[in-house]
Amino acid sequence: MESPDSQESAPIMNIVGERVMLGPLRREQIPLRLRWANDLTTNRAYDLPRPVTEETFRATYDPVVGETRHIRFTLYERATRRPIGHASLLRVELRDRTAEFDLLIGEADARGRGYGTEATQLVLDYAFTALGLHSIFLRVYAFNLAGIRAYEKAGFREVARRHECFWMGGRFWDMVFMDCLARESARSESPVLGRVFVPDAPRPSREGGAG
Amino acid sequence: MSTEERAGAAPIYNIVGDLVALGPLVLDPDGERLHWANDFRTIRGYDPPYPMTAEHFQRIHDLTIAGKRVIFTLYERATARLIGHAGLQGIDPRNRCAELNLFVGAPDARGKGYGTEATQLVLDYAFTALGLHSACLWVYAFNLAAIRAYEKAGLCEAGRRRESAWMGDRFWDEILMECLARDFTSPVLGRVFTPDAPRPS
Repeated sequence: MESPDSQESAPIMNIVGERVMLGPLRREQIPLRLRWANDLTTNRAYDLPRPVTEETFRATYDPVVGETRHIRFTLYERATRRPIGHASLLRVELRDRTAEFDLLIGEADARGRGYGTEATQLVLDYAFTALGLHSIFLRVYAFNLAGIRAYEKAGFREVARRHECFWMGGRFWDMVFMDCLARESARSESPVLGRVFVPDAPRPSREGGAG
Repeated sequence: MSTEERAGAAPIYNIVGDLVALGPLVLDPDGERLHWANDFRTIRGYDPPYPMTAEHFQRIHDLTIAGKRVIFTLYERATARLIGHAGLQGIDPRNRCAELNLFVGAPDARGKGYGTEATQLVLDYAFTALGLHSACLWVYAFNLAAIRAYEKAGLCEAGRRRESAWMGDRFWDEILMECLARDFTSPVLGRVFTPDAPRPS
């Protein structure tokens, strides 16, 4: 069954940055995501690159959307309003106030434009400002130079390395762990959501006001 | 097999060390493992700690025997009693790596070097039996006994996720520890996984 909102209608947005925006996943984007999932260039760092069928993909959509420990956004290019990838917080932990950041830019021509950097900043903003999390980490392979550059610009730093755990191009590569703490992110202050997640300002009381 | 038949029967072992032995997973005949899983001292690192029902425990057990894991039952050799489990998860054949998983549930089985030897046996299994290239684990920085055991078993610190776990009244780091196959000497399985010697002609 088709969902009532079609591709032409304006996509719903949660967080709007300067060049990219984040909104909820949409069922109508399944074919697009399926195309990304079958692009081996995009998925070179997934542990078992394999053809993903539409049936498998559709079957996993509802469980994925229904899983509340993960928070997933569709990533849009703001100028064209087209979906270009997705950005997520995986395994949001209640007590430890931590989660894992995950980013994919599926459209090849949307790479190298700083979109990844801004998407990372927006999701960090969401994690710290909207969710009140304390520490966010990510995993990236050492050969993914563009990814590492974007994450560093957005505020992540390398904190650990799992050595020689990925095979690519005839040799083993390290997995790099990067993290970012809320108080470090606060140095550059919330780019967007600091204006949204604010307590009400008390209304000026009338004279003699019983409040 | 009835409980009477099981009682007294020697457990099945795959890998036998000096102090501990590893065997196939068994269900929870005495309900003891469910007790461990509800002992908040034992599972203090779980987020969130929660009351575990028998049904949930069964579901976790079913998940454990499927998928990219090999989990063994951990036995104390002297008494042949079940004291926990140990094994590998996230086994990645393409990249020849996995994560270690160790749980000593019986409170009186701690502090005896069992964790160290169990870790060595699982590393032996990973490198010698499966031919993996690297193995790693994450441990909370407050878990001093575990860190000591892993270091003794041959794992080294490879970095830290900063302030990613809440315990007591503050945040703690999670430490990444790892071991590469070339830095490990097989204690047991090197004598098992060997090619035939050619017969004298």
